[in-house]
Amino acid sequence: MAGSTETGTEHPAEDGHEHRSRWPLVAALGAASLYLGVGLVFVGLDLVPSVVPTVLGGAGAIGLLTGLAGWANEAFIAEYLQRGEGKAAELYTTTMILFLVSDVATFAAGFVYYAVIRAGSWPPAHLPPLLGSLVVINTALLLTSSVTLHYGHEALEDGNRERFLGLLGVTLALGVVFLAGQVYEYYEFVSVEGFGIGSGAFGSAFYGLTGLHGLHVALGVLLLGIAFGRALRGHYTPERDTAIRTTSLYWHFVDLVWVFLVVVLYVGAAL
Amino acid sequence: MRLRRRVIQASLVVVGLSLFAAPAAAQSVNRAAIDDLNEQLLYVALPLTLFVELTLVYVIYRFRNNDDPKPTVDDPALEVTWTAATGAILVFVGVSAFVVMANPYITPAAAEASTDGDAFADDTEIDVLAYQWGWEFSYADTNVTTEERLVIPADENVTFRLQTTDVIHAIYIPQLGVKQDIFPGRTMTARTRATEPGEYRLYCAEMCGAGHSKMDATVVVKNQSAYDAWVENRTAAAG
Amino acid sequence: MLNRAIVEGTALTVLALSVLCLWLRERQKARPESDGGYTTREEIGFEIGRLQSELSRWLTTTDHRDIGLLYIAFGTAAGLWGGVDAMMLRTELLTPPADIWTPETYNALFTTHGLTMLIFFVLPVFFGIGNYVLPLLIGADDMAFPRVNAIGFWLLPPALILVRMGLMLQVLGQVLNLVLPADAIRFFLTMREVSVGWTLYAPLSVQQPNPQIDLLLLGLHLSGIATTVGAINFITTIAYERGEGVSWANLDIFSWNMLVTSGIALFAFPLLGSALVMLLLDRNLGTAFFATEGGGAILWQHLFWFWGHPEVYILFLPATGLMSLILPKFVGRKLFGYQYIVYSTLGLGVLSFGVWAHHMFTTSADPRVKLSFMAVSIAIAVPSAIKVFNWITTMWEGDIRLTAPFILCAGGIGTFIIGGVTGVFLAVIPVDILYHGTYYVVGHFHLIVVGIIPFLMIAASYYWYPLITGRWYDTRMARFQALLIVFGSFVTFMTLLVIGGLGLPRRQAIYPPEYQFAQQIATVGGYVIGLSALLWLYNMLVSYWRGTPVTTTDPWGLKATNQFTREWQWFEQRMMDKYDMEPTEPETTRRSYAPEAEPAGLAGGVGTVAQTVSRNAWMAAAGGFVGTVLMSGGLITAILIGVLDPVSFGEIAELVGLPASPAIGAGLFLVGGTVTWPLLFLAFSDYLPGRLLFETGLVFATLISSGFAIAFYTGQSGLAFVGYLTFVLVSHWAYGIGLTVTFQYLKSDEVLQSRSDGGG
Ligand code: HEA
Ligand code: HEA
Ligand code: CUA
Ligand SMILES: [Cu+2]
Repeated sequence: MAGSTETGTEHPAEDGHEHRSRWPLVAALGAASLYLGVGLVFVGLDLVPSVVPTVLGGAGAIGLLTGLAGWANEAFIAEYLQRGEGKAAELYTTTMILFLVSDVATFAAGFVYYAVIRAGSWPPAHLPPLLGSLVVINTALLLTSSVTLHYGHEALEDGNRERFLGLLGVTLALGVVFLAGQVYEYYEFVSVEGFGIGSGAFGSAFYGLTGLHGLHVALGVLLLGIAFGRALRGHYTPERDTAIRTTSLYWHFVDLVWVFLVVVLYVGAAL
Repeated sequence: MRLRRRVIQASLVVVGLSLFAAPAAAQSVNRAAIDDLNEQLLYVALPLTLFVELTLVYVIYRFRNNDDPKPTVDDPALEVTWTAATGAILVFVGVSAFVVMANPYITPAAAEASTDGDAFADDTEIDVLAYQWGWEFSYADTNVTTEERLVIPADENVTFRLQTTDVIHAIYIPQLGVKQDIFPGRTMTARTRATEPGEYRLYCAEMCGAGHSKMDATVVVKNQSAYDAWVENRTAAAG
Repeated sequence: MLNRAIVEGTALTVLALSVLCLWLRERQKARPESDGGYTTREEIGFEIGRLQSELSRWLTTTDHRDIGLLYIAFGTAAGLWGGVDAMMLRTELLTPPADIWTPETYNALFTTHGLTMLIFFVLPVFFGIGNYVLPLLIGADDMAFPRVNAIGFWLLPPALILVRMGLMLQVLGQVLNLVLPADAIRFFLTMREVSVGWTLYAPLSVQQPNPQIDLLLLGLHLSGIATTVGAINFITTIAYERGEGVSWANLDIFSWNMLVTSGIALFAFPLLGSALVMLLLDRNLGTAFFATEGGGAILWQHLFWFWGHPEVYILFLPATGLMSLILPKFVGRKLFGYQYIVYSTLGLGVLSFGVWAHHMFTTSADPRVKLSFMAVSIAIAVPSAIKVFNWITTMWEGDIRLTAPFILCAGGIGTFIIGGVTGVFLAVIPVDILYHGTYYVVGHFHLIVVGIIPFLMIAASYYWYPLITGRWYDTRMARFQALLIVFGSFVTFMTLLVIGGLGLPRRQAIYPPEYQFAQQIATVGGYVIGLSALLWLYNMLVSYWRGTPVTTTDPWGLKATNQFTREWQWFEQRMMDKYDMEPTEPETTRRSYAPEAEPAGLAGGVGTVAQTVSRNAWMAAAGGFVGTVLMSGGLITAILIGVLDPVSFGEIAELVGLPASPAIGAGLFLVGGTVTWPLLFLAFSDYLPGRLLFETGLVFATLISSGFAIAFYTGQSGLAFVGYLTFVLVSHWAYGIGLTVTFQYLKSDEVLQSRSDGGG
């Protein structure tokens, strides 16, 4: 949003060059190629030689990430460096909240499915041991990370930069460990218990919901990583903390979803 | 702009006709209940629709190139009045529909639930099996099975137990007012009581693949004695 | 049996090439070579360089107006593609057997027709119009997130390609087949257009082997992301980028509608996205989301329609926004009841999430659940009714200009009323049992999705064409085109309503021969619509180069009625900057809005709303009672003479569930005559012809007598029939006079009273 607002006001005759960016196209083409690659895998490797989807998917993923990075760089970071808080912080906060509202709908479909099967005859098949120590640890990790992020943000607002950096780093680390725990859990279930995504009605719910949540955590880790990197380079001050604010919102939301998941999916299924 | 008016007038005639498309004499109790309700709703909806459409035409005719237009003046009272009037009409629509819903032919599930499932014990029962792409009808208490031809007695309660072997199908007999989707893994119920002997069309009303449009059958309504004779005949043939 | 892939591929290519040739030719003609000689190498180089820079401009732009145009162009292309599908559907239906395409091809045609139209035609066009004019209307410099805006757009073309890749691969496969062995191109020969219906019902969509379904699901998912992103952008733009002096209270009506639309999309599309992924997993990874042992086929329907119904309002609301914006301009009066239209829009937004199961009335859900969905589905007619009445009232006492945009507005209201009222019939469960899955449903929604929605898009394109291009289109052709599309839509979709009412199921390539004639009428109507779409396209393309340049800063003369809204002010500024134009000043201006004036309605604008309502109610009751008593006199006479059968009164009672006694029926009749009809009359009396109140009453009575005559007809013929009609009419006139004279009396009484109360 670097130039558009400023220059737009003057309505230059047939404006053009201020309203340019190549990143949207790059990102969109990347996404398209990624989707096509994934789609071709589903179409069947007997019909499409596997190099085609691999190349398409790989190139797509790179393109998408490049496009997003370029866009983020242009829209936020360059702007941050040049002009300070460009737009009202409120705008970004609202945008994040709107995104989270849409995310509620994304999760809702999975939870509705789970509610439907949970209301039916239970358990639908043999259930793996859901309530192990791993879940407890993972929950504790994620909850702690929300706390550290919160105090990290407060530290930033108090001008305590060191503490801010430390707590942000801890949050990031906790997120990574959580993901590792999740991967380990999947590994246990799939290879030891033989409980996979195709294992009946509960398998679909379990992997669908935790998988979707895991993707969200991964994205959150990415956002935290970016924020941490920027913070190390000296970005953010008490007045210029929009990115931290929005990232926190997102992270708390993901945390909340996890708590909900543990209650209904792990505890709820075992009861 | 005479053309436009003619066009609109002609269209209005079609509106009237289409809303009245329901034929008069019903061939089953289901259809009779639906037709009566439909007619009752039309009694309100048709004049109302015509009225609003005619007002629209009239307004255009009356106020085109008007020399003396007036500014808009808000009128909350008017707004509230027409909202209330629409609401009143819709309450009428809802109540009439509600009454018909209790009809055990229209909503067999409700009747069945309220009597622990034996409400239809005296009905003639027919098991209907839908598959890609055809129908199989088995007549309970006999060993008779037919395909593409459903035979039922007139003036007699008939309960259909519907199942599918593959995807969703829907049994649809327009003239008897019967329509019921059939879901995999479930047994659905539909009921009717045909009043007129004759032959009627039966369609599949849910998209079910390449053969969907060919998945039809004929319903033959026979009076009781003819029906009994038919069953006997078929039983003998089968046995 | 024709080869679908080749026919459709050819048709689309011809269409695209004609558009291109037309464009290039007109462009060439518009800038003739200066010396008439051969084009030199440099000139060609120059041309190419210019093309390159133009291309890069369109590919990288983040300007809201450019992106708006891109959206519109994309949506139009998709609409034409869906339109070609529609023409092929209608062609098949010319004859009862499936003799032009195979049934499977027919299934694929309506599937892709539905998806292309609903997802890739309507929403992109409205997002495009929104992108172009919404920032101008609210005085914003651009959308809140211009780059995100561009991403949102650029996701759409790949999404469409993924969804409709089956056709492209099929065409390619048939071409390749000429040179390559079938074995080498198995992929191309396997992929076909999806043919499971736009509703993608499981388990059919899970079981069908066609791998194109996977690509389609991913394409739809991608388009869902694009829509969500766009929706967020619209909401934040409206919330945070409004210019000075634009508040929520005076936010223009189109922006309100885009806001609510975006709000619905924000919640509906992500849910669809998850459902699509679940379906994809069911198809490929053996999950049980929609399998019988899991959520079952019914769960797909719930998730689909939880998105699907809000989706139809996502399509519908922007059209109503355009109606509320454009209609007043050609009536010379401000929109009547702005505030109530805003409320009704918000109401529709909320209610739209509470009706989804009305698409599933024949699935045998719990009757109580069905009833609650029926109730909300019926109730949703109220906000729509508010809109319709406000539009008609806006025209009242206005100065109507019969321009192309106006014709489309009026036609849109006309089709929407019928489409909407048939929707209410469908919302009534017993009636839906009969009509579900028939052409009645097809007729219902096409009267809206071909009626008001594209009509208003086209109206908007005519209305803003001068603003966008600085030129005029051929207005005569536009008027003709407008009439043609209104006419074609009525013919086509009213016919479909009729055959649906007669019981013909939809989605079938093969139908019983007795419907052939009606199907042919519908097909001819469909061709007329197609022709008018082409006329529109031609007009738009050619006028860009050849249209008369706009020479005033106020092309529609909006200043004269104080409706020179912000986007036109922006236009004026631009014309002044670019061409040194002087701002156009109208010779005379008149007011189009008088907030302080007292409404001239029956109520006289005296007292508070609550007072007026209660007064109206009792006036209605009193008038209605008097009228009904008078009317009964006529009807009793008719019964005595024997032209009216009293049993028909009994039927009223029976229908409401009471014993079939004529007495009870007559009682009910009295109640209806006392309550319902007078209230209606009060609401509409201002809009009926006739200067004196009792004249109006006579008109009203005549109108409702038509309904009575039909409802109470018991097969009289000959003289009895004439007598029956006469008595019905005369009794209703008695009713009308009784009603209105009572009103007149009560009102004069009241006026006197309020005068003495007010001391003046
Ligand atoms: C933009 C599109 C749009 C809109 C606005 C609507 C509006 C409405 N729709 Fe429709 N509908 C569809 C698009 C739309 N629909 C589609 C695409 C399908 C089929 C999907 C498929 O199966 O493929 C469908 C199907 C559909 C069904 C399911 C039918 C079936 O498959 O069995 C039902 C049932 O309740 C229904 C109801 C309604 C109602 C009550 C409204 C109401 O909102 C209408 C309200 C408007 C009015 C009532 C008119 C104006 C009011 C007046 C003039 C006042 C006087 C009137 C009265 C007092 C009654 N619609
Ligand atoms: C917006 C939605 C939309 C639109 C516009 C249309 C337009 C048309 N539709 Fe379609 N239709 C559907 C949505 C739509 N339809 C859906 C959802 C189904 C159900 C599918 C299913 O059952 O799975 C369906 C099904 C359907 C059937 C039923 C098939 C069956 O059940 O067997 C038929 C049959 O006649 C039909 C016909 C037509 C015709 C003749 C048109 C004509 O009006 C087409 C004429 C062409 C145009 C109107 C072109 C568009 C306009 C422009 C490009 C210019 C405007 C652009 C700008 C101003 C920017 N449609
Ligand atoms: Cu079976 Cu359609
Ligand atoms: Cu709906």
